[in-house]
Amino acid sequence: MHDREPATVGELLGIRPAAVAGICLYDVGSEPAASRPTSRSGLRARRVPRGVLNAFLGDADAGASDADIAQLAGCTVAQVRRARLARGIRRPAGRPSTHSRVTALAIAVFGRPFEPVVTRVKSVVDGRAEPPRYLVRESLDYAAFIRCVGALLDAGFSADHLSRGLGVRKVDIERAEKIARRR
Amino acid sequence: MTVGALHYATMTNAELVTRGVPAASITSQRERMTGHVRRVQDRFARSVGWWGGVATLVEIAEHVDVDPAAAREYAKFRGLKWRTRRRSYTPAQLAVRALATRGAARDVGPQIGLLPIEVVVYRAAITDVLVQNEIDLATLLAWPVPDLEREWARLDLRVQAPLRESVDLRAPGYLDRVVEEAERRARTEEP
Repeated sequence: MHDREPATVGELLGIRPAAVAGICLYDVGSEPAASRPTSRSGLRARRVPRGVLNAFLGDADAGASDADIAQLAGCTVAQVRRARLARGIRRPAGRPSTHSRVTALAIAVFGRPFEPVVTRVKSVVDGRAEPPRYLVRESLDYAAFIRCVGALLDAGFSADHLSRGLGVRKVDIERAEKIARRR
Repeated sequence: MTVGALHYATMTNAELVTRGVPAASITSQRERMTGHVRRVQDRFARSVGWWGGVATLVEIAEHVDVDPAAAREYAKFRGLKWRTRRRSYTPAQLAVRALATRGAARDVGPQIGLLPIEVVVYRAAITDVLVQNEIDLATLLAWPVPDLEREWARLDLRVQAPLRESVDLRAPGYLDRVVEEAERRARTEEP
């Protein structure tokens, strides 16, 4: 028995037209169908529709507490925390406050909303840490040092002068002088 | 300068920061625009448009210039699929599957064996077909198969990373030129 050659795109791919009702590019993935709550699934097990928390994560970035966001979004603190960490928003230091609350406070105090300050970010760690910088120095060329010390002493500088000027101990200058004279 | 999906898919966070993207928003933007949480390896960025049943594993490995075993490992870890005797799709069919499968690109990718960025690009491409013909997806499913392929060819839709063998992706200004060229082409084709 031979199968009939699939005539339409839907038959070929095994997709029923009813299954794709209402799909368009821009709402795909924004909100999956809500699952029916079962007896085991209380508030803790309830799934947050994807994208619902996105609207509140700006507040999280601004320093809102998870409890506040959970209350606004109507989900649990753990769900907010998970969404926040998934987007790499760490809990910022300092007193937590929502973006809207800070704006309201700024209008009350200054008469206008605050202006966000954009700082230059040099590091790759969210601007919160900078790579350490090292001063790379070349090692001392002792033969050249001896020649310099000899020449400077010949020119009339005292060992005290050289010690202070070069930042070298006086005994080292004197030792270098001895070696320079021996040559 | 525009920072597009390709930048988010292939550049490191440090490179994006130097292009003026706020560091704190990189990961969320990248996930929104490409479906990827981390960047795609340079080498495998060239395989965009080859997964899902369009090409065999050996063809993909040759294109990406790696050992087939390495390509297989890369694919297995990400749920990518390739063309076999039983499974074979054209790009147009993959695009329909990408749009017909509900969910975020990151979840849909492993379901139909594509990279998340491929899901994003395929969806955009098939949406072009829908918009050009002023139909919805259910109507498209009732089309005869050759019509879909003909329309796909007519609109000259391609899913591929705009990379060439000889071009170093990291060369300064290359991505900018690609984006500019695409924008210029879009402008000239509009009227």
